[in-house]
Amino acid sequence: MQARHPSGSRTALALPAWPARVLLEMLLLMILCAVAWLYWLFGRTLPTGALAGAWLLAATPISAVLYRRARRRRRLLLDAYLQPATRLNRMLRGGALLAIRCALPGLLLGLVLTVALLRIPDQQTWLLLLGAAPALALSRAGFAHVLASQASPRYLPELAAHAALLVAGAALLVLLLWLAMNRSYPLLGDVALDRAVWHLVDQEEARSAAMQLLLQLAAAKDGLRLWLGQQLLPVPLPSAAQWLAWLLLLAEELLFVWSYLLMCTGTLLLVQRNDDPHG
Amino acid sequence: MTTLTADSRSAVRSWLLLAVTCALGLALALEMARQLPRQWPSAAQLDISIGDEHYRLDARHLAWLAGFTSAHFADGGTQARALVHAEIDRQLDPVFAAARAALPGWVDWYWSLGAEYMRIAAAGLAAAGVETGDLAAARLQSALFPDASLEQALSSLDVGLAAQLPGLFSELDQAWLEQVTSWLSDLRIPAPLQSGGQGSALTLPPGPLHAAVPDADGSRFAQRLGTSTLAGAGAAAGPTLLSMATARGAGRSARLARLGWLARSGKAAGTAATGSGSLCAPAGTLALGCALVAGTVTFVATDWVLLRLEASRERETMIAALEQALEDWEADLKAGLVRDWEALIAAHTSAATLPIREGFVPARALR
Repeated sequence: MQARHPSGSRTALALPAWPARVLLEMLLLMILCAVAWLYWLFGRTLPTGALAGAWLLAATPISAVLYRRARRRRRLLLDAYLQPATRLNRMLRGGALLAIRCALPGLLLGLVLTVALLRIPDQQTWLLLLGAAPALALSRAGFAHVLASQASPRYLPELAAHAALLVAGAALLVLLLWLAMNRSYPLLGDVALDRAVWHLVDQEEARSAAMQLLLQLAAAKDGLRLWLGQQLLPVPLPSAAQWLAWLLLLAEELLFVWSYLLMCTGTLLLVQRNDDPHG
Repeated sequence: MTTLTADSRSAVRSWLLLAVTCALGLALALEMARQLPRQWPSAAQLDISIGDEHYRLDARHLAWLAGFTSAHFADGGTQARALVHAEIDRQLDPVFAAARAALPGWVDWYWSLGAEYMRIAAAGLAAAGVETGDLAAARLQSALFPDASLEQALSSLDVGLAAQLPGLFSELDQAWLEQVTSWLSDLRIPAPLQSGGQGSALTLPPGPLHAAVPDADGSRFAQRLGTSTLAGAGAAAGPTLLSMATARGAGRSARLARLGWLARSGKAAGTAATGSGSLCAPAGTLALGCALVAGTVTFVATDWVLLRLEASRERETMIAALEQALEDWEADLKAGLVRDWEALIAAHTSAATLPIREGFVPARALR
């Protein structure tokens, strides 16, 4: 776009102030997506130590997001019931204990994410994840713009981030489910459950024995899910009810999408510390 | 001169960011669509199927399977060869022993007057353009192998081996299958989910391995082998033996027998003329007849005496040469038979070990 420069002496091609920040966020999230993609490319050849590092790297931003939300909820509670500058208020505002309490689900979600990333079966999923990065940043900026006149300025960034997370997450989930519904799976209709699970588990290999075990557990879960689906819901799908049932079976993607977007949001949060309304 | 203000710098930075973001997104999208994850090469393994069972073998087990299979079927080949040798000896040794025993009789016939004049008659007919064949060779063949004994022995040999070898091969295959399936039982894996879906699986012959050997059907094999062997052996025994014996020294006797007739004829004719002149002294028609009879008798008697003298000198040499020729020919015939059957044994061994040799050489497949 072309805008008149305030000095009036020259014209310059300028973007509004917020796109620069959005562009930075997009760039950052794309770099994060690229790192995750590299992890997918080489993760099975990494030793356990490197994988543990990757797990902590994924869990840290997730835990940060969870900690920030917990502190916000605590702050709202304390503001409602306690005087602002009291000792009790300071003691209960959330410290190490709250951080530990948030780190545990963060570590769990990080583990789910590190395993799920390695088990991404095709390149199309990565194109969707890559597209989710700018979508998340843009929707954050969009919601911040839209909600600016309605929301409390103190919680506007958080509210916008939360709304963006929901919208981008829902869109990503729909697209991933669409991919999952059109993916080719082994035919398990005529085989026993143990044979089906064995073959899916058998395909999972990794340099790290611990990661191999996690991958095989996830594959066993997939084997059970696909076997159940093919035993109980034969294809082709005759009705909307069966479509719905299959969607429910494949809805485990939700956990992956949620942890991935939490990691993205947490990364932005860690980079932009000044957005924290609670100091 | 233009100086960039803070807003201009910000705009430039924004456009630069936009360009970098777009470029990064495009590059990532292109690479993401192209790259596949690197797989960790786990301990080299190979899935094999034996019959309806499926196994997953690592390098150690593959090396064992390759070594065991090779040794097992090499031993089987040795057993099969021993069986072939034993059967050949069992069928042919009595026939050749009888032939050896019959040799002196033929040599005595050869040095007889009848054989002498038969040769003279054959030479005369040959000079007149009538082909009579090698009468001595034909007589030798009928004397040594009466009633087509050699052909019958060869036929029995073919039928017997064609019946025994497939049984031996079947036992070998069964023993291999039992041993392998027993030792690999801990390595059994479930069958693939879809037939043909496991591209790397190696399929070993599931059923009797000897079924894979071409032309192993007993009757057809016996017929093929019998036709070729008999044509070259029994039916041509006489000429072959005489030819070999000639090359080994009996030729001198044979040549003597042929050339000696001229000398003997000259001597006999001279003796006959002298004898007929002294016996039929009176002149006239009777005297001419008497002279002819006396001359003929004297000629034949002289020829017989000379033939006996020559036989007493050459008989043993001729028998020795013919025995040696018979022994050599027997060895050649047995070697040829072993070669024929060796092809079948080699085909079985090859059929049994081919999938392993072509499917995996541990040092190569597991590299």
